[in-house]
Amino acid sequence: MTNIPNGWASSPVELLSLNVNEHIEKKNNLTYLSWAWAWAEALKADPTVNFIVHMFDGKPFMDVNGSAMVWVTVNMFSKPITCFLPVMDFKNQCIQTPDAVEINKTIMRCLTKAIAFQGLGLYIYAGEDLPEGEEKPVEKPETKPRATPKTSGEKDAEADLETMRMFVQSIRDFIGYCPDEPDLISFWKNNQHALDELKAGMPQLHAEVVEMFKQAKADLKEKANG
Amino acid sequence: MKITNKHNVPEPLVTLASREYYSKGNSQYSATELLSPPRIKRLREQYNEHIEQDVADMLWQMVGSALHVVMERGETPGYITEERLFLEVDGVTISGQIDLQRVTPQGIEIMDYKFTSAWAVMQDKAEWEEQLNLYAWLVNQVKGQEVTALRICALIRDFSRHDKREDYPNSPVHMMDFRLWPMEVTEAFVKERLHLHQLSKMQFELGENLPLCSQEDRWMSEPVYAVKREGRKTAIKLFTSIEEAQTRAIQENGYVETRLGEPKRCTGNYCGVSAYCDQHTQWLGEQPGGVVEPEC
Repeated sequence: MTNIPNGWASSPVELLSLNVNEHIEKKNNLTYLSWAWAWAEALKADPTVNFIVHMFDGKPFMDVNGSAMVWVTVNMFSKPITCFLPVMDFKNQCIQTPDAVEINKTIMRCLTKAIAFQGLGLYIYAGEDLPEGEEKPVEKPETKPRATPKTSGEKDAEADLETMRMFVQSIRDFIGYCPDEPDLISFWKNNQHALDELKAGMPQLHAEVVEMFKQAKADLKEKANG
Repeated sequence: MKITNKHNVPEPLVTLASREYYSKGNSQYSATELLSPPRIKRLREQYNEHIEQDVADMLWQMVGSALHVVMERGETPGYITEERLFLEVDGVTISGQIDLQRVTPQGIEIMDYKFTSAWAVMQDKAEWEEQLNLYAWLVNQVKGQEVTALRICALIRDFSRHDKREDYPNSPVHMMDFRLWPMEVTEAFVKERLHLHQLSKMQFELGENLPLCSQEDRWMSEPVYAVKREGRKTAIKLFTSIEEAQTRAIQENGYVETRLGEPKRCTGNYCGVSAYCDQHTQWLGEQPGGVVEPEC
């Protein structure tokens, strides 16, 4: 981990470098990153940070055949990133007709996850999301000294690459949850800014994402036509 | 975009024409972009490197830019000049640069300068009303101030003192008032425009057909009906009503020739991308004797 002056990150790259291990909580052998701490760090890094809990017909979750998916967008450093999280039980299974407490917990976890996609504690998400009961143990970030120290430019490029890969993975993970075409369009729109950056920085990965959307759209059309 | 110099005008003018005066700051969409047809925006982005414009055709554009530069220097108490406002809408930053705001105890009067023709100010300019209302919404949302009036200050480049038509402007500087919409109407309008642009971007990226420009977007003229007679080259009279044309044709022992409406923005290439537009290519092919020569 790099040392950040004053301990306050002020860019995605610095957020990626922050060690969050002191702020994770253990509960029933599960690992959680405190949403309150994550939000505090986000505020310190970008005082204009804000988040949106997406509403669906006046409800803060999307109904997926009786189970629920929450959507949260965190806008930080002028870049909105949207994350999704199903309301799950400790077995990593969707809860049918979840209650308000379960939805609330998932929204806060989704908020923490969206902040992670902005860089903070991203490494602890390298395995899975934060389902109760299935969380992998947190691995310490690599601390081995490198044979040849990398330049800050190389580190920035590595961090950008990793963030973009995570972004593409998130698209791959969640595109299948879009129940219809308007929802898919909404998904695209919410990630437009990140997609533009991906296109400029990694056109090949962007082409992969475009193919995913093409396929998803074709599937949804077929589904709609019965 | 490539700037050409087909008429061999002095180099300093070419340099001026090549200079970028316009900036939308740190926003994803400017007011002008939001209001323009999504098809035009996408085609301009796609073919930017191929689009050519001759410096001689950019005269009024340059004069307009010059006016904005001059206006920034004309500070007057009670007026705010050239202020760009930013607002986040559905996770997207939009912006609009307002030429002039007059601050009054009742609120803000918004004014925009237009270098334009006498013909233009005699038409219903829906796009000017949309632009001014978008600015009003920005002022209301960003500055929390009431907007009390929307005005266009039209600087008429082809004004003639001898034109006596009833609705002809009576001065080369012509003030026009526009209707202020309820803020919730403007908000819905802005969100709809944003959605259309985002949707067209997605369609473009996925390799799908771009949304078509509407008749209004294409500046489609009304069809006219020409009363003609065998042996005479020119029309006896043009009518906008087919009934009137038929009546006259009977009186003249002639016939009626229908002249279909023309998409002036496309045929005059005012969009700059008609050569690359499949909608325009299709229209050309549908015209009598039309030849389709797709360039893209």
